[in-house]
Order: sequence, then structure tokens, then C-alpha cells
Amino acid sequence: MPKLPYIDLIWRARGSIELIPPRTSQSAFARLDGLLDDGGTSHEVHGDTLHYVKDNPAAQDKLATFSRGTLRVEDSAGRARLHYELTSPALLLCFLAPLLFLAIAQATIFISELEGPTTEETSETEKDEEEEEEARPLNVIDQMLGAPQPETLEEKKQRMEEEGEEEKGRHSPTPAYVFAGLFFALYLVGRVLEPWLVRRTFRQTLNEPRDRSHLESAAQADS
Amino acid sequence: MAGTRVGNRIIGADSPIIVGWDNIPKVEGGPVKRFIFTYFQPFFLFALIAFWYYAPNSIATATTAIAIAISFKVLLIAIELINPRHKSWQLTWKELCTDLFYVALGYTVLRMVDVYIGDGVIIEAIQGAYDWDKLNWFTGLPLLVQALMISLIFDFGQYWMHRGMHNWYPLWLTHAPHHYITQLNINKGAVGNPIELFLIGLGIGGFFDFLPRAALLAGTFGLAIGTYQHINVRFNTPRWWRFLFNTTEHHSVHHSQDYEASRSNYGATWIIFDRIFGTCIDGEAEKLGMEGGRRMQIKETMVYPFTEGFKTSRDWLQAKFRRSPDSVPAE
Repeated sequence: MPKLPYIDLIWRARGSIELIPPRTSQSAFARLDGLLDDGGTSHEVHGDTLHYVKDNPAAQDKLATFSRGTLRVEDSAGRARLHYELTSPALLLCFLAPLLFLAIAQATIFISELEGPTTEETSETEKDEEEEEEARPLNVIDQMLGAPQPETLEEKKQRMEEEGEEEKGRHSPTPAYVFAGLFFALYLVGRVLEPWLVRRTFRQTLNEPRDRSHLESAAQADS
Repeated sequence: MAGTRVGNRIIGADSPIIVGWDNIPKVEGGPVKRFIFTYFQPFFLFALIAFWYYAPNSIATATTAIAIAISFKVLLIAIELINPRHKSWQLTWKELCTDLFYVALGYTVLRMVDVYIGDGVIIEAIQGAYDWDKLNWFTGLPLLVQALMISLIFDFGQYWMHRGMHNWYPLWLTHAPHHYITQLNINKGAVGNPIELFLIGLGIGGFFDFLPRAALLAGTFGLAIGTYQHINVRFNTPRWWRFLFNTTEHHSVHHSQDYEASRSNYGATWIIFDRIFGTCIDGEAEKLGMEGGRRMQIKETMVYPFTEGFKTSRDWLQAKFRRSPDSVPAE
């Protein structure tokens, strides 16, 4: 089986930040307590390494996107760095979502073809259309206010022809294609945004003076 | 928690609820911001009504309606991101993806299912069985009257379906996942078990014949009023608006963690049915959800009515056939 060394970049974020001032692993992990002390999170510390798992994190959890991770503090030559490797099932699912909606689009096409009108049904539909009555004129109030009159059957037919193919099938695969594209775009945004946000969270939590980060969190709680 | 007496009920005994419009915070900021967030809702409602009333037939189409709906929702999402009502409801990337997954299901799978078993099919079958024609005299009424009737008839049905969901256990099983949302954002209306979304979409409008333009106008009521019920933006909503229409304040009370408060404000676009039938509570809440705010994941949402229904049936059967602990074996 060929190795795919970069495939996990789809759902993993790796990086490191310098701890200023330098901290021991104990001190750094104590600072991260606020991110890991909710009910659904379990974490273990082995020496300079911390593993955490979040089971169904809350919507506003700062680590909601990265629900598993390993953090390691490395100390060398008087400088300390936090190395992190985070796993995101949410990113993986968002990456796979376009495939689901492409499959739904294909299923839509398949069902439409399976159920497409036969020649007899098409001619019956045409007959029905012919039997359709002209719309009644607008109420006198609407006429006075200047609302456009409803379109005649001829105008309607012409518009339907101009709008084209979409009317022919029973189901349209277009929404499924649109959402496939949307989830792909969301994945790209998330793949850049979420690692950036988590890096900022770590930096703020570990490097900013305690008083300031406390004040900020208190202000957020008040608002 | 003491709660507040509203009629015969104590509201806010389980979780904080602000009761009464005068107690709800106002938009803070400069005069421009306050002006925008006071007139935003009425401006867009009247602008959209004027557009659909006067747009030529070539423009007044379903395609235009979809384009306007998407653009309007993108605008509202941008406002939510820039100016959230509560930081604790801030839209995050993960929440947006999750919400859009449900929206996408609604536009694809549910729409397809609707073609086979939706209200259109049911009504057609009834009309066919009794040889009923559509009630086509409605098309002679003024356009705005038709539009109001479509909106009110649909909302009346939604009110009772929604109230039924809160009062009859089999229906509640389908609706409960929607009450696990822990914050409001404009797409949250689509979050829930697909069976519930199918049921809440059933309407009796198909019995009547309306002009297409009236239907588009009615859709505008849903878009320019109903969308706000799940929005995370603070508005200085005008008094007449909040008397007639459902607002995010009303709906936050409905979604609160307080059990008694959640049994109120069942309307979708209109709040007047709640006022008429005595279930309206004017107020707002920030702490939302069930089980202390546990977020329900997609996979659980999809199976919840079946798994919970199974557990309840099993417990009921076990309780029914279990021997009483007091019974003594015959000797």
C-alpha cells in the first residue's frame, strides 16, 4: 500500500509556539487548565506531554474543532516551546461532506431518469397544460396601485421555454452540487482559519499576563 | 430560582428568563448604529414587499426569490459575525458547518421526499378522492390579502403542529433534537431530525388557489420576518412588530432551559396565534438547550426519535409486565 505522508494534513494541525517567558511543562499545562476543565474533557499528563480528548465539546469551546490533541513542552538552552499536534474530526467530516452531496446529486439524477415521464405521459402533460385556464385579472385595488397583470398562458409558456431544461426533470441535482461546492469552500476556510485561531488561543493563554487574560474573559462573560 | 408569574405559570424557575419588553436590553452604540438596528427589519420587509408587488412578471419568479433569500441570509450571517447579540451565541466555523449540513439536507433529500409524501401529494389525493376543485375565488382578492392569507393559514397550521409536538410524546420525539440547540443563529431553524422538519413543513395552502405573485409575497413574510426568530443580533424591534410577529426574543424564551418557558411562543412567523391561544411570553433568554446545555451531535439527531422511542417503549413494557415487588410467590 503506498504511503500517503501528508494525507493527515486534512484533519490535523501541527505547530509550535515559543513560551515567553519560558515555562516548565507543569506551569504551561496549569495555564491551559481553563481550556481543559469542562465536563466532557479528559486529559492525562506524562512528564512533559499532555494528551486530551473532548467528548462532544460545547459550541463555544475554544478547542471545539480540535477535539483531540497532544501538547508537549520542550525546553532547550533556556528557551521553552509548546509543540502541539491536534486532530479534528470536524475538519475531516467537512472535507468528506462534498462527496456526500455529490453522491446525493448522482442519486437525484438516477431517480429522475428512473421516473422520467414516458412519451405518453409527456403528451398527457402537454394536454393538461393546454387545459390550464387563463389567470383572472387582478383585483381592482391592485390595478389602481399599478401591480403588473398576471402573465398570460402564452407568456408563461414562453418564460418556461426560456428557463429551459430545469423544468423537464422531476428532481434537480443543482442544490446538491451547490452544497458540495459550499462545503468544499468551507473546508478550505476552516483548514486555514481554525489552526490560526487555536494557535492564537494557545499564545494568549500561555504568554499573556494572567491579569489581562482574566480581565478579557471576565469582560466576555459580562457581555 | 424564584421565577416570574405569567398568568398561571411560573416562568424562569429552572433557568434565567427576562420577562417583559421593558426589561430587555436595548441596542448600545452611537446614533447611526441605533438607527440602523431600529429600522433594519421594517425597512427590508417593506422594501421586499414593494419589490414583489411591482416587479415585472419576467423578474417575479421563484429563481429571483431564491437569489434574494440567499443574499439576505448571507447579509444576516455577516451581521451576526460582526455584531452578535450574545457572545455566548457567537457563530463559529464548526457551528456554521453543522447548521449548513441540516440546511443542505432540507434542500436536497427532504425536498425529494416531499415530492412523494409531502402536503402537495396528500392534498391532491384528497381533492381527487372527493372530486374537489381548488378554492379559486381567492385569486380575485387583492394581492396582499392573498399573501396574508397564505402566510396566516400556513402559520396557523404550524402553530398547532408545533404545540402538538410539545404535548404529544410521539411528536415530541421528533422535535426534541431541535431543542438541544444551545445558541440561536439564522440557520438553526433547519437543525433537527428530518422527520420533524418534514412535519413542520406540512401546510393546507394547497387547498386554495393563489396567484403566483401572492405566493412570492407570502414567502417574503417568511423571509423578512420568520428568519429573525433564530438570529443572533440585537434589534430595537418596534412595538407593533413584536406585537404581531415572532422575534428572536420570543423564540429564545421558547428555546430556554426553563421547562415552563419552553412551552410558549409556538408560532413561526406570527406571534398573534400565541397571543390568541394564551401561550405568548414576551421576554428573552440566553441560556438555551436541554440537559443543562448538552450539544446534540448530528448522528444522535438523526436517530433520536427511534432510539428514544425504543427505550421508552421497552421501559413501558417492562413496567407493565414486571411483577409487583409486593407480590408474594404462592406456596
